[in-house]
Amino acid sequence: MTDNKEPFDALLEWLDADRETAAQRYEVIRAGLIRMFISNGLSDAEHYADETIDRVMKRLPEIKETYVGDPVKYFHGVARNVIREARRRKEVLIDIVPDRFLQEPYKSDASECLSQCLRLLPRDKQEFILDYHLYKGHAKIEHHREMAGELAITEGALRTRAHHLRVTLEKCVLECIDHFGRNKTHVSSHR
Amino acid sequence: MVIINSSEKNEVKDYLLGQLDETDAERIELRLLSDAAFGEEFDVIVNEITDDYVGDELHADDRKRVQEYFLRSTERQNKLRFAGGLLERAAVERGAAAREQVQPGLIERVHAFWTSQSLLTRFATTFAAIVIVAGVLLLAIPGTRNSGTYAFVNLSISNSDRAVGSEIKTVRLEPGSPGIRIELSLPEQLPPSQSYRVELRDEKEVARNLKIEQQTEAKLVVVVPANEISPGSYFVRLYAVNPDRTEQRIRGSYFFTVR
Repeated sequence: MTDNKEPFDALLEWLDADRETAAQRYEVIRAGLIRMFISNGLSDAEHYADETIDRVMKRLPEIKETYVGDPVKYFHGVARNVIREARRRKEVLIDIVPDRFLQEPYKSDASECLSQCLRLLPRDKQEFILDYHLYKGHAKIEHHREMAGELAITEGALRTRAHHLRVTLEKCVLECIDHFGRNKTHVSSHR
Repeated sequence: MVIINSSEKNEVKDYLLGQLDETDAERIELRLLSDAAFGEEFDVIVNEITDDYVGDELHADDRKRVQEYFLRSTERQNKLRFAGGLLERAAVERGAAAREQVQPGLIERVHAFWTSQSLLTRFATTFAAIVIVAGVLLLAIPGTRNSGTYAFVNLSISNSDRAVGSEIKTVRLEPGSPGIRIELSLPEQLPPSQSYRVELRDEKEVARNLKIEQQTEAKLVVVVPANEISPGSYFVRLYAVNPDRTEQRIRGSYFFTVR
């Protein structure tokens, strides 16, 4: 019986009888929770997403026989509680973020990381991602139209291609900055 | 990735700027938890808002909402710094390349083509052009002699309900002009066969409907007779008309001033 299964297995079974489909649903829910927490102003959104999933897993033995409806709604309700609790603990920034702080120059470590990560891309993709972000306003729209024409793809496909490349680049830069930061801490602790 | 329509896109933007009520916000959040493709589209809109903020392309009120709401989490602040670095790098590295690759304009291309032709071809083409222009003028003059020229202005929708200085176009209505022809660029991703109602409002928010003279996938053309408009500030609102005659307002307005 499922009662004796590990909580995570029970959660997957609750999401869908087919394990592969259940795993896909789980990934979508976790990614959605992260987006939801970030959008509600919570930093360390992954921690809150895991906290939400843990709470659902703990409650599951009590609710799974009686709960009616899409499990996603249950996750949403728990996530809303997590947000409310975080707000009560003042873990959501309420003050306006100073403009000056947000527009500070891209630090040298970050700039070096961007260079490194761009170099990891094939030449045509480097040029593509930089070209895509070249213009502003109406010129940007025209430019994207031209790029799509040159590549013989739709503007929607161009947008998707640019987005996937940007996600890869951003992830690489964040990991690189994190690596730089840890190395600096390591060096200074040995001084 | 799903392509969401402009109304859904505006709703996601409103959610990201903290402008949706709880019910609408819940709808967006439930979709985020159940639709992977929507999640990806959501991320694209997050990046667009971030880029527009970095590029100083947002209206003052949206900019304030970005600072007050959108950028509260450190994840978004990191994203902002990354966007700043990426846009700066693009301008530095590819800006120069783009300037070098600028395509010759129409005049340059016509000139290059013209000078490459033989003298006889150029003479024959000039003669044919004179004949055609003269013919067109002869045909056109009787129909236009008694009608003045419409003042013309083409407007893009502003994603705001308040006019911002640089976005307001001015149109000069000369004495004798029969009116103003207004070309309204339609927001992207609206269905091509959509029906619309166009509403003109003056400074006192007095509204009247304008007749749509022409409609394509990308624009609407409306005409305001000269005797129905006087100098002042105006804005146009657009409504999508559903087959059951219900209406949904398209977010934003078209602003212009008549002198």
